[in-house]
Amino acid sequence: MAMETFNYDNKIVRNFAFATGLFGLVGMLVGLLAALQMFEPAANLGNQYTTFGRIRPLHTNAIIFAFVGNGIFMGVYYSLQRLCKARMFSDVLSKLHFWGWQIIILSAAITLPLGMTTAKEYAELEWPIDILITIVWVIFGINMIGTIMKRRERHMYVAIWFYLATFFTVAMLHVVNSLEIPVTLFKSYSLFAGVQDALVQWWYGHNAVAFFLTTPYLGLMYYFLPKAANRPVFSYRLSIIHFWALIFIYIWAGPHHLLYNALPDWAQSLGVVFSIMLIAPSWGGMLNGLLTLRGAWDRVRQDPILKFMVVAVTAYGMATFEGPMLSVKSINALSHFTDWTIAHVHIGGMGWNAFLTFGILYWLIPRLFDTKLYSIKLANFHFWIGTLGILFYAIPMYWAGITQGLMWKQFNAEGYLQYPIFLETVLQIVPMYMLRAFGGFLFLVGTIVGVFNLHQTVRSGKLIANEPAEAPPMAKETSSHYKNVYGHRWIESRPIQFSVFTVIAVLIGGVIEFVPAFLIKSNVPTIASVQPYTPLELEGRDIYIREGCMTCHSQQVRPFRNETERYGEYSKSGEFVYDHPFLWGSKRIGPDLHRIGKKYPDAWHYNHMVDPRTMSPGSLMPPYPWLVEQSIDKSVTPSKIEAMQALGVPYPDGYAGYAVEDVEMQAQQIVDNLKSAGITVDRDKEIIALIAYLQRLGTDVKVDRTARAAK
Amino acid sequence: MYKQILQNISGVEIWPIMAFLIFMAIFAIAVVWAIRMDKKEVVHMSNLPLEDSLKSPAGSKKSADIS
Repeated sequence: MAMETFNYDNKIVRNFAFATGLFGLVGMLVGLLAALQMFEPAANLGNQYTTFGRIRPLHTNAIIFAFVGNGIFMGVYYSLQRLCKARMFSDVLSKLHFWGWQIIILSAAITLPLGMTTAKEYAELEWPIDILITIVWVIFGINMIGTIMKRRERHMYVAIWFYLATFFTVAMLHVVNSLEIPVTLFKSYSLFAGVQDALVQWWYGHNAVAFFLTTPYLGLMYYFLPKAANRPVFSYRLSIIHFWALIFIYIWAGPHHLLYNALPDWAQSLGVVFSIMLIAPSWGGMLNGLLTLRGAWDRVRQDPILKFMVVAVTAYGMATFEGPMLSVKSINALSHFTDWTIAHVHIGGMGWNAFLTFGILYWLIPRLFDTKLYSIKLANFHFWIGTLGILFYAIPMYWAGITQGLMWKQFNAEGYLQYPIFLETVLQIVPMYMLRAFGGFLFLVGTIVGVFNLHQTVRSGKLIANEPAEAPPMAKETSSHYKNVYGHRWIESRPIQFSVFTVIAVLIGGVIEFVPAFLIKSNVPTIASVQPYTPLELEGRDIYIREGCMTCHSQQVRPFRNETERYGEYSKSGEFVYDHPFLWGSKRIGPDLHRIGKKYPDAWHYNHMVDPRTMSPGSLMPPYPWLVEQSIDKSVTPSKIEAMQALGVPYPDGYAGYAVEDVEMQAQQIVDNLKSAGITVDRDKEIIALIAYLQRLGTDVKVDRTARAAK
Repeated sequence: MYKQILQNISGVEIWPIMAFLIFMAIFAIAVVWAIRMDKKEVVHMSNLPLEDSLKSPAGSKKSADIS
């Protein structure tokens, strides 16, 4: 048969590889800065833009979307061309994809420190950037599917299935979770409120881990591990079962992020059951990866690339065993809101994602530049210091998480909390926070050495921008070729049908999770005393969101005796019906705030925000002195009220017209309260709005109780 | 509380059973598909990632010995 000659586009692969290295460094550096602030608040560099609440989303976004995201595209653009035996569909689309993605990263790096955030974890970026993400993602999809359509190899290798599943599912997750009403250019409110918003967010958050950090990387594993080991994957049959089971089950498990929260029991149970079931397909993938190395383990001792990959796959196995365990309600009762979760995600992030990325980079860069790796010794050093870094990070975090979780729950013989002061439980684990930062530092040093090594490698070679290749055109399939016409082969050679099946598989889980949650909307017993926020409280809530208070403080008292003792009445779903977005949080670096309202006088909050250590000596909370200097922008208040009305929050008709008057009135009360405590402050200042919001938190139910008691 | 709310949705009892059945069906189909695969095809498919280095020698020979 006549051979066709063509070129693989290596330039786009190189670009994504460089971006991967660069943003790996940036993301980890920001992570280290955040880790230092955990025991030394002054490490916020004394300004609002680098304070933890804003830096933490910058770290997570940089690692997930900039480092791992570019890593995905690097691997996909390299492997897809070769598996399809075709150049990418369009060089223009490749370029648009690359630069579009870097512009998204740049806008994230600017807007997140400025406090522009939707408050939804891993979806913090505001609506104009959300739209840009959608456009760039579609460009990626067209380019990928276009390449698949013009392929010369009839069968789509398992890696391509994972890429397709990634594309469709991330598109769906991103669009649904980003449904929001814009108020200004960089401010929006989530379309959903309270329980439903939480359900949508964690359906997204969980599956962002599944379909951004897992499925594309499994695809990369299925391509690059056999390449590096120079032997085919252990069991192709296992990969089929593993793929369909994984993409089908993953999507259901989102509610396990909300166990014991104000979420329907059935949704929690569904999340638990499907999380446990997830062990099977996840381990199918891990074993398939490790067993690919059967008979080649001697090479693992010498080859740093295989070392990185083995640790990556092992970390994947550990994290996917631990995840289902953390979804068991009794374990979750202890682990949730503690550093255990942080340890868990870093086994995944540092072990699975970063180490697989490093392995691929060490394999890929010498090939792209037609040269040898600059130093195998340095690569080995990177491997060992990186592994040590993971251990120094994860072990102290497990220790800290379990210690703190147990301290929160401990009662003494008299039946009182053993550690009633939250700060005690924080100070106990400060040494662990220091060790964690040291672990992160080691990991960062490894990455710096790795980037240096790759940089020297690049300098010693020359990019093969267009790599020549040849292959016969795609052959017509003859039925006599294989005896079984209707097996999985049928779908493997039909990308469109394959995509439809994939979308159906992920949709089923989503639909089953959502439909009951949205059907009950009209039936949720609203609590009569729960009222919309006043305009001043709403402004305060937006400051709370801007400062990222929810990254350290939950607003969700779980129905445990130790929590009701510590914080007060447990949280009810009906209390959150006007919360666009919900602010339940996922980590308690500080105490829960859902019942903080009216617990302390206004002056306490004022002093505490200006310098937390005056009110709680030894506190690790950063000071927020800028809140007494900056004024709220009341010109936007009416449009905020109108946006809330459009979302169904029952403010009276035309309320936007005189909402600012209410702002002034309520602010004056707080100013008067502060004055009687000897504090003079202008009523326009942000601190006033924040105090109004904090004093309102969780009080609607308290009102209800006192009203009932009065009757 | 939620049990009562959910009972207001007609036919909600069937929800978890449906979920389980759908999953089992998909799982069974995948297993049958995988088992019925032709041996020749399995070999062809699993060798796909290793093929391209034969077809496009540039860049792979020199650096192959580092891994």
